[in-house]
Amino acid sequence: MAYGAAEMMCVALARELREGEVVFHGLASPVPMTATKLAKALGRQVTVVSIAGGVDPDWTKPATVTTTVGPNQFEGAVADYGLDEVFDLAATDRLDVTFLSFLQISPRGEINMSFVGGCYDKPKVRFPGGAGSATLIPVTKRTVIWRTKHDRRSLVEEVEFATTAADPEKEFVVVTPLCIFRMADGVLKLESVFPYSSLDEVKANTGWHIDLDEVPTSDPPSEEELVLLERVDPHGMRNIEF
Amino acid sequence: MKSKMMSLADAADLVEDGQLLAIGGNALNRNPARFARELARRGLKDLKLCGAAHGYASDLLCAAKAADTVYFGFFGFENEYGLAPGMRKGCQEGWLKAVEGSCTAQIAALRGGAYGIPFMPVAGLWRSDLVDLRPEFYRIMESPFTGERVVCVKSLVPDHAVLHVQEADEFGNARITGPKYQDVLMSRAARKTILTTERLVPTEKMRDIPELTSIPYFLVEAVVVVPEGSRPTICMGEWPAVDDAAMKAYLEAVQTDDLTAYLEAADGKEL
Repeated sequence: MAYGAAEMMCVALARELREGEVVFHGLASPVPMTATKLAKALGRQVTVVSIAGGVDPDWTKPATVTTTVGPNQFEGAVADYGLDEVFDLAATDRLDVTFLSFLQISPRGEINMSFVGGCYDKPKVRFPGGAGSATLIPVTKRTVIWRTKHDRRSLVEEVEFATTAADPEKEFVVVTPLCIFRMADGVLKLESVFPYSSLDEVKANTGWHIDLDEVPTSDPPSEEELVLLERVDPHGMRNIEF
Repeated sequence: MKSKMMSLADAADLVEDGQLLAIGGNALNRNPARFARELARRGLKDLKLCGAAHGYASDLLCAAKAADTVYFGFFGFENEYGLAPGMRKGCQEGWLKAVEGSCTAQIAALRGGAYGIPFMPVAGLWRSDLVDLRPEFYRIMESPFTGERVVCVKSLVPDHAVLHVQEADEFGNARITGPKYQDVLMSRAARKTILTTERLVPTEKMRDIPELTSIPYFLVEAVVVVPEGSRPTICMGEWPAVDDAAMKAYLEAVQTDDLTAYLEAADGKEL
């Protein structure tokens, strides 16, 4: 089956989820939302919580609108457990995985979701803010970061402002359309490159130096993963991010 | 119980320049959109808006220059609708003050308000530049018991929570179907709550299953019946998707700085 970056990213995010984990995604998160549904379709027992409050919403019911905090994340759920409580869960060390994104990221896992250019109180471009990230990243056991663009404007040596930052003591992984970085010793290390990309392409589009001559290629999506992905997201909500 | 039923105009009259409003909903879901448009037409000034994740209703009040301060964790529209143009413009032109938190920090500030205490410790926030930037909102303290360091936020007591719900009775007992976001907390933190509701239902319906009433009447100062009051934003069970044409009309209006014409055209006959 043919696949592109949208499918590869959904599969890569789903593969990050381990049996028995409690997983949170926020708003504007079609790719992570689809990934949680894919993990469930693959038979992985994960608990999904979200801003909408639905615990384990019915993954067999495909989303028809792109919001990831709306009715689709509530309908068919087994319980109503709202965002306030999800944050409490994270703060008490009971949230395993959080999916978050970035507009700028540094190799040390500093994330800018606030602004670029000018100064904080009169920025050239005001961003939407980091939502839950400044609280969640320091307290969640594992943070899975995704962004559907990989370029030198967003993967930068230094961020202009750290809305939040990785905790070097916790697990932190970054998935882009080209590759996967994983934090080790406080620095993001290139772990693998997606089959349709290359080390050269990653280097050319990353704003920090990558000191590697070779890197493993990620496993491509399996036939089963692609079939189930189509089943959980037949209307292609994941594509809105690309 | 006494009736809180009133017209949209009378409810909007309750809001005064400089007040702090908690705006219900989340991004483009269940915003008090119609009420926000009513406020935006009034030339109000210096409103402060709080909440975890703001969307259309708050952005409109920024675009109309009715607000001068926004407390938020996230302020934007999801996915295809992109960044919030009114808030961006206000910040980029320097007249709108961003008091940015994690969503958690904003929730903690409302909890502090609801609990009747002046500040609230909040988890996380370490290594965030936001903390040092706004000492009027964030401080770091040591636990008086263990010495553990913790970030604290100043409590917020909104003058009004402004919420759109699916069902309310004439006294202000209200049911929210589906995601509640921070609406319930907002009603507890605010001095009073203004409700717009899709439908008016008899109080007997509330008595049948009281646990479905998430907002009790004594917190409420106004009930306005506004069918489709969340449009263009989603309202579970009522309005399943963002009203694309209406949303694009809004984005266009902010882009071209023609909010007056947009507001004139948006609602047809006044309620």
